[in-house]
Amino acid sequence: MTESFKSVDINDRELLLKKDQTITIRIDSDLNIKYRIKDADVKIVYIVDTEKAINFHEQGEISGGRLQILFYDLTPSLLHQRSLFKNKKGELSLTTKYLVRSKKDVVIECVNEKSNTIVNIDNSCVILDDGDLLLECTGKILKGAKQSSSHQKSRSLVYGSPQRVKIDPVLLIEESDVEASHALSSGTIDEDVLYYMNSRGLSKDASLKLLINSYLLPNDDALESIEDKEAILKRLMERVDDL
Amino acid sequence: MAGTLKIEDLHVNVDDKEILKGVSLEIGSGQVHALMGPNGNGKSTLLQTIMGHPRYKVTKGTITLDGEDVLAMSVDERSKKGLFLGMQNPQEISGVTNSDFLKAALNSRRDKPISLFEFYKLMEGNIKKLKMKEDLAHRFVNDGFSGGEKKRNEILQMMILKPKIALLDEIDSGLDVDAIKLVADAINDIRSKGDLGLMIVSHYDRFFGIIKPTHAHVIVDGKIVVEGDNELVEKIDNDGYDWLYEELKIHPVTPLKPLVYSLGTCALNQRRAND
Repeated sequence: MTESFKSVDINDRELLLKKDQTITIRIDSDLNIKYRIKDADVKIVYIVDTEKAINFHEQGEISGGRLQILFYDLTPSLLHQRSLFKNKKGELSLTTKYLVRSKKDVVIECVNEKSNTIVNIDNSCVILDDGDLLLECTGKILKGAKQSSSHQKSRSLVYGSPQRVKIDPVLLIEESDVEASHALSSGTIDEDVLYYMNSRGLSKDASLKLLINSYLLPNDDALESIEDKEAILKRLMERVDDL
Repeated sequence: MAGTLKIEDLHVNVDDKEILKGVSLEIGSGQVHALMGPNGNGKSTLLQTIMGHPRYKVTKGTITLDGEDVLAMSVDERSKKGLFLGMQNPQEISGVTNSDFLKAALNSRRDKPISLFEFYKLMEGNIKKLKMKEDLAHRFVNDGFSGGEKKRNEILQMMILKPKIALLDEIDSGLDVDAIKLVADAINDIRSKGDLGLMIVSHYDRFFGIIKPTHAHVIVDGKIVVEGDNELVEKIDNDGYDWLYEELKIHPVTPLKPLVYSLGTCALNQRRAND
């Protein structure tokens, strides 16, 4: 994608991350990764950007500190994703962005295993022609994980026809002294919004791209401190421009 | 950018019902046309039709801008040719910032994209003029804006896009007294610096008092029934429309009121009434 990415094979490896760091991972083939965060502030940015079908399996464990994950799926091809996070101590913030033009089968499970753990999940999806998304997102708070929190929100923008999207937000709560919530919004592009944008000189295509970008582009804070920020943003824009 | 918008014998249907029944008028550069009339008689329909809203079907007549057929243009082409509609109910576009939206709109009509520095200078200058919040550029378009903020944002867009002809549909509603003056002054400022032609729908004399229309038209039942200048605006403000109906033997269209259904009688109150 860009020369600034270093090529390191982490497939089938178990990583222990003990230092504050930001890691950018470009997924261009199947990946199975396990890692544990121990008393560190870690940010992982995944970018799925290939024409190949991808199987991605991830298991993360937080044993102190903060794990922030930004997951961008820009690939026009198939994606089979399984992400499991066990939060034993600390905070997990998971942000996913899917540009869906083919079949995507995504299962995310975030478990608050111990007390005072925090999980926040934010999924955004744009479903284009022939897109088919199944997203199962589960927040689970185990018995004994008192004063923990698990919040998730998902939103999808559906464009074109035919398209299919199924998002299942699930909360499984075994403890009473906790905070939990889930929110889901799904909608098509509003004709009045499109007219408003057209009335300012934006063509239908330009308007749609602006709306799609609004779903997919991360906010400034999310990419702050990431070395390859500009390259990531550029690639996101290119993928949308290709539509 | 001087422009002349010419409308001839315009007939427009909405949902198969004829709303405009032969409207003709011409707006030249530097002119300010007040479009008046009771609610539901075709003012907004005329403005939306000029801009090209897909719900409004032209069944007869022509609209040209500097001789070019506006009806043959898509909505975005109309904008790029120099038409602007400040809407009564501006849309909210969550997730798209004002700066991204306006920059894209501005670049759509330029050969070379505007530089970031030039754009922010332009935007910040106009935000200050309209006394809007400094973080406006980074807020999503009209998302969470008050009614007044939305209307000012329409004017901000107009100031930045610099149209030939601007159509303002009740742009002063939702504004407090100070904001009306601010917006009206901003419009006068644009007029003084260029050739902007304006067509304004407003129910408030205060707004027209500052703008001082050069032309006035009254639409009743889809037709322009009387035309004049600022004196006509003042007369309508003082006397209303009844004198027109009597003089011309016409009747306005009465907008349909929403139906109200009874959900039944409260059992408790019914029992008390019987007691």
